[in-house]
Amino acid sequence: MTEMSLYLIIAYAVFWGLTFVLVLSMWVRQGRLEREIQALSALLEERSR
Amino acid sequence: MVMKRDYPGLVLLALSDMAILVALVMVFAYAPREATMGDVQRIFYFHVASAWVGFFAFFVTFVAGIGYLARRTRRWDIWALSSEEIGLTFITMAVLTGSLWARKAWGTFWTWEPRLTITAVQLLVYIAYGMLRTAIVEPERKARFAAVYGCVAFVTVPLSWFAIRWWRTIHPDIMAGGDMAVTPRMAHTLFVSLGAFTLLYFALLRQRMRLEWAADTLARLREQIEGDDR
Repeated sequence: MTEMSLYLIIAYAVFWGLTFVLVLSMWVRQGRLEREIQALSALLEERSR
Repeated sequence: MVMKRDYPGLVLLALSDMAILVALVMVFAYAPREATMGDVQRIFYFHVASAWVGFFAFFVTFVAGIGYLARRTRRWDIWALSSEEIGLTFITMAVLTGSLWARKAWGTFWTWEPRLTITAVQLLVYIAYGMLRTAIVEPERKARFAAVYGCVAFVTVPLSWFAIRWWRTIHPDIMAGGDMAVTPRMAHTLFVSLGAFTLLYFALLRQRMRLEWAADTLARLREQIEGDDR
């Protein structure tokens, strides 16, 4: 592998890597928020009965 | 309360993924090998597209900041902060891919020429935007300060854009041609990459905004429970 193609591979890996980190962080945060919303909604429903 | 599946958002994500794949195929199979720099020039397509999305995202933060200051509604604040986060990611991408390209073109990963210096400052300015939001607790004050800061920080975008025209710089100006001759096939690939990245920006923005709406729903539920406990 030449030095040039190594730079090319690293550059495209940077794009995929950063996009993956951004999407993963949003997915993890969304999952945590949805779990908390469900738990609190269930608690409120239980109290209202 | 169960959060609804966001089908338009999922369609947008799927479309942007397909567009990125088409752009990738064009970068490696359609665009010709550049005569002087060889294959490393193929970094150019995603490097320019990342920088474009970064600039556009900061422009949205700027407009949303003005919108917030005029209307004082949470919707504008959510636009601003969501767009800023995506813009920061894409500008980081542009800096990293640019430095790899520079290693071949200029023989160094980094040099303190005007465009690169302004981009480094821009990166720090927008990292500070996030720090500012974290530092202020009161929501209205946080949104107001962030809106003003987002408007002022936007100065770095036109400065960076015009740096290669106003000052002596080694950074190429793709609009003016310069050292690198852009053939029609290269231009097609660049435009498809720009379109694909713009679609990806909107898909990510929608998901990031949904995240903020969910956080608001959670805050309301917490307030309700605390109110019941009192």
